[in-house]
Amino acid sequence: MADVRASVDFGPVMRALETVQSNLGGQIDSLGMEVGQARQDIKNTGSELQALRKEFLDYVEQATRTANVQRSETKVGSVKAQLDREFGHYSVVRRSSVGMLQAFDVGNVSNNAVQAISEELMIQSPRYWLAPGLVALAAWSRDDEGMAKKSIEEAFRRDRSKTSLFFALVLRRQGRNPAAVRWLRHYLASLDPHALTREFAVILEASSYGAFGPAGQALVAEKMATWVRELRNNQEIVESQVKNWIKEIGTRRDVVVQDGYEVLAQLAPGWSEMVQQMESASALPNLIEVYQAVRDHDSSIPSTLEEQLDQILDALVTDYDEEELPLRREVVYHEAVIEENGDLGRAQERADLLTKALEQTSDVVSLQTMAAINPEALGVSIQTQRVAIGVGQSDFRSAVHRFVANYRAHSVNHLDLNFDQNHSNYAQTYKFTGVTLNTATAEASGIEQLEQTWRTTMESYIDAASFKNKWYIKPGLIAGAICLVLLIISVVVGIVALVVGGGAVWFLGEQEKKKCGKKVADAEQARDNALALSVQMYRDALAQRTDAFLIYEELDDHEAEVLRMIDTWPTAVSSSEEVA
Amino acid sequence: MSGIFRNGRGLGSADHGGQLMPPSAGLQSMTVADNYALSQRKKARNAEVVDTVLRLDSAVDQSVQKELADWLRDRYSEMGVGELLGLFSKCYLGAPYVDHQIVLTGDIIQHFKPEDVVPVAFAANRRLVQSAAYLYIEVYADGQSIPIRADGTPAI
Repeated sequence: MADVRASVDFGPVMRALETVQSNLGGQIDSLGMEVGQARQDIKNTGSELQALRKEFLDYVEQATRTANVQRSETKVGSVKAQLDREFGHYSVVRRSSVGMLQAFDVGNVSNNAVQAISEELMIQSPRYWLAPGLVALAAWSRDDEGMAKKSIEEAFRRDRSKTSLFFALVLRRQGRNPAAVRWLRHYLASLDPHALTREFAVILEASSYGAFGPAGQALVAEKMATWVRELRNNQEIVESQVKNWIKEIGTRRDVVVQDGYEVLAQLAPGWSEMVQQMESASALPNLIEVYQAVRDHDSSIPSTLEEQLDQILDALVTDYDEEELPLRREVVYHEAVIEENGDLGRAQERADLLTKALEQTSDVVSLQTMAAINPEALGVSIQTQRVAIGVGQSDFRSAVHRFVANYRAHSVNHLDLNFDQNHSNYAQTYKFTGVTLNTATAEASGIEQLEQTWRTTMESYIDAASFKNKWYIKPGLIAGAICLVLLIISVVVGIVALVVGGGAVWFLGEQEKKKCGKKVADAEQARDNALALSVQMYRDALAQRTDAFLIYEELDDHEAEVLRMIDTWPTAVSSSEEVA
Repeated sequence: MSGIFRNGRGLGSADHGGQLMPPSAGLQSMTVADNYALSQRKKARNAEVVDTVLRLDSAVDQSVQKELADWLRDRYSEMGVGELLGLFSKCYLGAPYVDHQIVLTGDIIQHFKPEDVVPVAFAANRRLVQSAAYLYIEVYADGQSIPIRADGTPAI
């Protein structure tokens, strides 16, 4: 028996088992490291791809805009060339008319020269009203009444309003006021207050400076008052002024630069609403800046009315005519595209507003609004703009009321923060179950909810990684089977095998427990890190929301100042009344 | 403003930058009421009306509520502003209530929690009443809503 006991040596078997176990363990560890590395690589690649996508989209947008700008730059050049080709000879007539008036002042040009040039222009410009006007002027200067009369009739036939206005201004320039006012009356009579032509703006300008003397000023003021009273009874016309003012206010909005709001933009689906209300409210301080400058503009009547008169006359003869309008509109649009850096939406909005001033006709109320909103496009001065804002005071006020009420009706104070499966790399890796927190929720409660959700999310990972007693079943069965076989062969060998096998199973079990314990600790660490990141994002989002809302409130507070500015407008005459 | 804004004429990145927000239906539907009613609505409400609304707002006793509501109904009818559905304002009762409607007949004051369904005509004004700029909002049968300021000025 002693021989049998001596001949069975389990040492090599145990060593072999240990070696196998150690090799296996080493290989599993190194595999684990490689998997970890691969996971990190995938994560990095994902983030890089996202960044690349954003850069690409930004690039595409920028490229589209640059292309729009380039196209418009080319187009502006060609349209301007076309204008020059088709209407260039009008410029010659315009230049000659200015030159002729100056020559009359100086008296250094012979009547024959004036006659020859004006008659030549008459032949070259078959449809243009100013050409026979010049012939009439030349005839007038050499006392050729028959020719003057005939030419005036022709000019009058070509364009009644402009001819009347032209002679009203020229006669006023020559100091013949009663005759000038007669032409002016003629001119006003030719107008329909529902469909005023562009040059009526010139009259607004002239009357704001009293260029036609007291009689002329009274005539224009009376006519204007009658027209405005008549037209403002029509609520549709009034509403349309308010809408134009609302558009004007809209163009004063700034664009929110989203740097510093990244976390909020990522988590809050309602962020765009908050951006809109901030942008809308930003129009208020801008309005104050722009219109206070207009209000405080030095509006003292210029010492020499003659100079203003000349400028007005100059505007009449040098400004473009209706025939040129379609091409002028194109120029305005393409220039707007260039100015808006290729943003076609904004360019259209701006061009619409500008071309409104170029439209062939408009009613007297709309014309006043246009003079108030867009004096440059109408060719009137800031003095006229100030008067026009006073006339449209109630429309401006209504527009502010509505614009502000409109964005307030859509405004949000608090936002939902959506912590979804993609809110962080951890959330992506561990398939975060997701939680939505409102910024109105108390911070501590929000953090608790995040913590709870991360616990739930990681529960299954930790559970899967933890050591379970059922692990013993498999090696136990194998060891048991081996012992059973050995027991059948030899009871002693079997008993020894049982002891050794039991020991081996226990040893391997302890190793496994250690490994599982590490895995659980890793998962818990990952959960804590993930939670810390989510909490950081949550706090950042809360702070960013507070910042944004404070800015909105500060901007929104400017409403009272805007209304005060409108209510105290220096040239306004109307006042509000009570309904009951 | 700490440089958060880029001027509108600059390179705009926001895709909504070129558009105005759509006007709310309530502020624009002005088709039913006649011109006279519309022009009356644009005039300021007098101090007595504003004061009565304030008193009604805080009245607890139902008979007092009815008395004030009757007085207001008569005044609004005299003003010739057209058919008024009721008034809508911020509720100062505190949580859980956020706003309430005041109708001038029947069940006069009704308070709402954020999750409550507010009658359609009033619903569009839920965010607007939270603005401190307005005392209350008049809601008309033709769909128009007019915010009224503390001094009685209508914001229209």
